[in-house]
Amino acid sequence: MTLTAAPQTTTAFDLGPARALSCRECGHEIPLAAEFACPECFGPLEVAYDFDDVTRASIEAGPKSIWRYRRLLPVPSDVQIHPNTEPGLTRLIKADRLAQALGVRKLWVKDDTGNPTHSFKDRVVAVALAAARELGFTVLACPSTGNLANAVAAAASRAGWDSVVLIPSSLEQAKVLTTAVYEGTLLAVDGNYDDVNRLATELAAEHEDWAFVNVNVRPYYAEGSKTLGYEVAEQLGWRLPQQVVVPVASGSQLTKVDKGFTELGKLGLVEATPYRVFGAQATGCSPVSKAFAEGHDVVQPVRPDTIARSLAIGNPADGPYVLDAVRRTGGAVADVSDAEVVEGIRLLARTEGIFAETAGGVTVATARKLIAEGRLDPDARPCC
Amino acid sequence: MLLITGDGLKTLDAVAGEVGPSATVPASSKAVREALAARGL
Repeated sequence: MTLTAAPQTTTAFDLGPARALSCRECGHEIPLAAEFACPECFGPLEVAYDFDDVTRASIEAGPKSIWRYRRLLPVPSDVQIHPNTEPGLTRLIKADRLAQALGVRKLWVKDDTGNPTHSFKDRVVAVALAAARELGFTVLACPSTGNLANAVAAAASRAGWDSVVLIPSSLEQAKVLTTAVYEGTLLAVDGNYDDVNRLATELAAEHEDWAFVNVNVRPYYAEGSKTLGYEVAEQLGWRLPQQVVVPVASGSQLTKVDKGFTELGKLGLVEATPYRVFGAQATGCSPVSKAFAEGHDVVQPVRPDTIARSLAIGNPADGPYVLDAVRRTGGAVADVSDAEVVEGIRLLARTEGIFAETAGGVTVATARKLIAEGRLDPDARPCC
Repeated sequence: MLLITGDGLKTLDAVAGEVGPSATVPASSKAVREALAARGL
């Protein structure tokens, strides 16, 4: 089944159902390769697919990891035989006590702290590593301020690859240790995340065998977030949630959860019922929320100043696509103060026994705000 | 069979003196290249 209208392209790579890279702006397609920008208009590229017949039964018979969805991902058909961190199939919790505290009828929490390095980044890195191996890379790399550094270093160790991770030297000691313990190359740079990102982009151009997961293999990496959407639907009994609240950093995760829901509906794996997507940001880094509130299509960059550091991307690459998704589905983007983030962390911990990072606090606090403002329906079936 | 019964996050102090960045460098391409070359990369 083809989900985008475009000419067929051929490829030498086995990346499962992936057919080509397609520009999100102009629709131009190129063969599968380690590219991230459209050669025609410099727009971002994403993976386009020709899906085979995928059934619920074939998925349910698969491994207890994201690889049960491998026929919906840009990964080789033999992805499971290579050592990897096997992320995914994390808990979906029916959060009755949190629902009561927030004043909603039903609430589920997707708890991705259960991944191997305790964040959803294990999903995207696993997909990036699998694609990178097929594309001929031999080193796994990234610029990062925390979760991604952990995930890349761990995935490389598990696979027996070298890793190169660039971090700002001001990073908290705990984040440095939880990456350094895997004993890849960890360079601390005396600069901010923008400096680190710039240096990574330069290195990606100089080292043909280095896969910078969020730079030169980003189109494949980003697809890993679709598995959050697939899992939520499968764990709900092959249904889509009526409302979903997703934290927004680059915005990629929200757009890919939306893409995953859409694909499941088009493939007949779920009934394509309406759903609304909501974005959550910290006020100290809320360029997408601001653009949404002001009715803009363009996101103006900001200088981040928030405790939610894993969401502190001042110039979010997928910001315009987040605005498209939330407006198309009837959702919204909102933001909360750092004090509200802390209260969100504590509320989730005391009601459901989950100690989340600050991004989790942003999600809970934003849901509370959206409910209070009447923008999130308390009688629907929401999922955070 | 080995049983791993808990995560290392709660005992970071055990490795704090043992592991750390490979190098700390200025935010320049030259410095990064030199640091990587020193590690054979």
